[in-house]
Amino acid sequence: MEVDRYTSPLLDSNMYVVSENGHCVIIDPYFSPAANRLLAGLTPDFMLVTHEHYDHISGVNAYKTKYDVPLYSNGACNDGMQSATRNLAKFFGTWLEMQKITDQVIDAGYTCYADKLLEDSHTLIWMGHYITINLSPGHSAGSTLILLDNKILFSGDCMLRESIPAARFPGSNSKAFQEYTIPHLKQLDANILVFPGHYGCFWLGDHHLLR
Amino acid sequence: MDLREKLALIEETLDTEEGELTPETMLADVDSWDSIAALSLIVMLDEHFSKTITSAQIKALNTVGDILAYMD
Repeated sequence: MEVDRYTSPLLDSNMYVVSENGHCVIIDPYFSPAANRLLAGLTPDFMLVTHEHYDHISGVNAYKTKYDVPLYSNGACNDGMQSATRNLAKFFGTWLEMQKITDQVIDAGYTCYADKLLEDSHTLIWMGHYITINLSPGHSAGSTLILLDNKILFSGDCMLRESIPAARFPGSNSKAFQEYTIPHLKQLDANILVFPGHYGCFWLGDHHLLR
Repeated sequence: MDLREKLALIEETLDTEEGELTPETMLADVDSWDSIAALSLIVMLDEHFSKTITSAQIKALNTVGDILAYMD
């Protein structure tokens, strides 16, 4: 099994491609010719997203069109993805402009939807690997932690290596983050390697939230 | 929505303590006033007041009172 990362120019959000035996799973899809090269020679089986924000879902519709690959998500994330207000697409243009990022084309009306709804805690078996997807609210209502074989965690924006508070964004819920997501993270193995939604990877036990 | 309610909404949006802000408070003096807070403000004005604010207007904000002016 291999995990490849593509860091998009859209706020440096990370797309991941988990591959094995010519098949792959796309996590937080961003579409561009360069990102698409990660899929060369692979058959995408399904897509997952860590949460509903535009910088993590902007490639969903393009990959659906190109590969006819379905998106799986929990209900809360699916609800958020279907609203350009809740997925923040409506506001990204202004926000990027404010930060002098002018080379990105934002679809302010962008929405997408899940082709298959998952339970709030759901385990998929893919190519003999266990992928556990847990609704982990706080950063957003539909935030999700994706755990692969209890060794790798795709944390989205719940945990970043940099100390950016996860629960300060619009739609964030710091109470839910403290009461549900932090305790859930604390019960995981400290030796899990975390692949976050932005920036580089780190060991779970090293993160300041858990120390 | 009266002034106290509007200030409470700004405090919630900027993630500051209750009662910390007044119309005269300089945004530069608010620790949490950063790009994430600005995004939260853009969303709050859209959701609660149907106001679309531009990046130039955000940059021109100096005080909490400047934000209140958009909350009509």
